Amino acid sequence: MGNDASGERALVPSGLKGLPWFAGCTDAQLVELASLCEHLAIDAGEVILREGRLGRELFIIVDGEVTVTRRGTVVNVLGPGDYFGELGAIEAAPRNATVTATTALDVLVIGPREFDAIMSVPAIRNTLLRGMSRRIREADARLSAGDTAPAG
Amino acid sequence: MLERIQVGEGEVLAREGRIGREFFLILSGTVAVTQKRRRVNTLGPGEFFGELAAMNPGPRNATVTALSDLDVLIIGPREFAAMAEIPGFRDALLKSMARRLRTADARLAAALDEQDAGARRRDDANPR
Repeated sequence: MGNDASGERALVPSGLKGLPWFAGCTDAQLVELASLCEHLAIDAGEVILREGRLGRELFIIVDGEVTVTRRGTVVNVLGPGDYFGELGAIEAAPRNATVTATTALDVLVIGPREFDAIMSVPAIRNTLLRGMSRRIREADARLSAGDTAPAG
Repeated sequence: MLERIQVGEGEVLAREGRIGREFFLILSGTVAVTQKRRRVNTLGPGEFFGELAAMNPGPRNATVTALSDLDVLIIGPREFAAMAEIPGFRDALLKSMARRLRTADARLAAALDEQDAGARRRDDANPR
């Protein structure tokens, strides 16, 4: 595998190692992953995705913090190792939340086609499936308890 | 474990709050999904349930009852993990989970709006 000299910011595969998402990956998988992800630096205050808009990318936070808002209410704060945008990556539909960088942000961006490729890696797939199943359980529990106040 | 079984109408396949790790794929018949005795869904041939517990050990978050005679595949957690290797199944699983999350998020947001509206009504009644 040769290095093609694109203008994009190079992603060192070893930089992926610290993220829980990729903990179960082999070195060869990390190299392949690095070639599938785009690595972006985003300024504090920038809106990364907007509720109601279409978008198909999955974002994994390497460093920094974002807030997730829905209809103007903050519903979550995410940091390194967390991810967002997975629902849009799975299926084309309007984003169901707005995500804003609250600090300078270092993120991995994964497009829908690359998303399919990373889902064939069991360790990564399991991270996503477990995370989604946990969110479904939490949402069901809050809905059935009638406790709809935002956490925190 | 992978087993094909027939169950009769009225039989309970999963019970809310109980531990269970099996995943169920309906071949024929229909089931009712209830949470706290409230019907939240009806599933039929080709549809599945039990995936949350198959991925993450924990109590079942719904009760599933056969609404008719049912022909169903019962799949253990290890076989479930192997099935997730099949792109078609993986897609169906991810899409169904994504839809559930979108629905739950929308219901939570609607409930929050309702609370806000209630708070505003109280504020209007008691102006400071």
